[in-house]
Amino acid sequence: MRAVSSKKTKDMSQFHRNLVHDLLAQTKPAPEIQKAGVQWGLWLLASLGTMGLILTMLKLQPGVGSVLNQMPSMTFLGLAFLGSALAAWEAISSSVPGRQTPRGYRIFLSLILIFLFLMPFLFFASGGHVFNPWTAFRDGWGCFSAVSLIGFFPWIFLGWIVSRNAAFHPGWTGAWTGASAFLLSSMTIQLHCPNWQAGHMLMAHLLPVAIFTLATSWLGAHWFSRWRK
Amino acid sequence: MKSKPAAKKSSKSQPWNQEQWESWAQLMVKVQAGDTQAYEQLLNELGPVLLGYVRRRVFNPEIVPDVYQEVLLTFHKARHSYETNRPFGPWLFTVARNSMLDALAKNRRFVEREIPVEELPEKGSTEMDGSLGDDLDQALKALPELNRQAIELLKLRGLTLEEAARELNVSVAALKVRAHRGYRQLREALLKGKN
Repeated sequence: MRAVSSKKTKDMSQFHRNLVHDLLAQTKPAPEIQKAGVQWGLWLLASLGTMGLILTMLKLQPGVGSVLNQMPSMTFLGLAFLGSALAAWEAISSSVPGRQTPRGYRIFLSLILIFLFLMPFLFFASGGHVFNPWTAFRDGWGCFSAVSLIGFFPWIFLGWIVSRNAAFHPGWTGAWTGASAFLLSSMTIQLHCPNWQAGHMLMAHLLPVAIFTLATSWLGAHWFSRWRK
Repeated sequence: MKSKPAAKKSSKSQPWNQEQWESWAQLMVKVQAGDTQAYEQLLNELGPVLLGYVRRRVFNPEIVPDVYQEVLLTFHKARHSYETNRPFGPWLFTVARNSMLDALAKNRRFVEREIPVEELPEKGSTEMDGSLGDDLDQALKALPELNRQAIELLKLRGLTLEEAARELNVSVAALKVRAHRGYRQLREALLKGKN
């Protein structure tokens, strides 16, 4: 028995030596990546800059000051921004081994996202107004397209950052990148669009966030696993 | 920050102290800069740590080499993602754990597709007048696909290790392991046929 285990140990030592030999043959300086905090800060700065620029071109909605003075509107915009920033941090930290956020963080972030989707029903539904999803979608097609198109800028940037790290759950990482980027874009369009009706907010401003979160989960599963190829 | 205690826990239950972790973290910085000597030292020092980690969690000793290989390859590919100001232990064990789980999942899928060699309807000829060729052909066909591909590329098509590895989209180390297993299975199948 001892002979067998000693042979096995010898085999493993040889196996290890061969592996090390092969790995050393492929050694070259590793690509440098920024610290997670720096990555997040850079993304936030660049994305806010881009959104600011887009908003300058699109113009803020008339009477934006009074809109921001109302608690529900302010809360919606604030939570959209907070959710976007936290989701970006989750995407980045999930792609750096040993940086995983605590479970409480992910639960908190998920609650913010769920609450954002409930907010139109809770605070913006007008009495007697029948919510017709198809009509709301058709009438809000412009906002839907804008949220979808604008969201690609922060998503590409965040995706590029994350793809340089080493994500072990690329699908999840992808979903967080999508949620983050398209929430930011949704917030930007909500600052431009004067329509605060529940159906419009849901079908034109929030639906693209949900769709692209799912889509980027699939895209991320491919893109963010490339480091292992 | 949450994962910091993991390193402490590991260093408490294992004979690696804080200085050891710091020394590995310093070596890792040199590895990221492309220092091959530091890399060799680090791999040799981490080898027993990672092998022990795998052995404690993988109950089938036959697949330990596969899993260990996957862990080292992933370590190699992910080495750029270590942040030098962070503790090394949580990074290392996150890489080890995830790559181990991936390797086990791959192995499970592979085993499900594998055709057991023992079930082949064979009675090999002892003649050397060409009938061995049929036996060899049959034995080759009966190999698990991954091992057969490795042998076909290396021995029948005469590709170099690097060329074959590139064609199969695997590392040279992984290819060597597949080929080695294939040779062994082939030898066993042919001997069985002879007896």
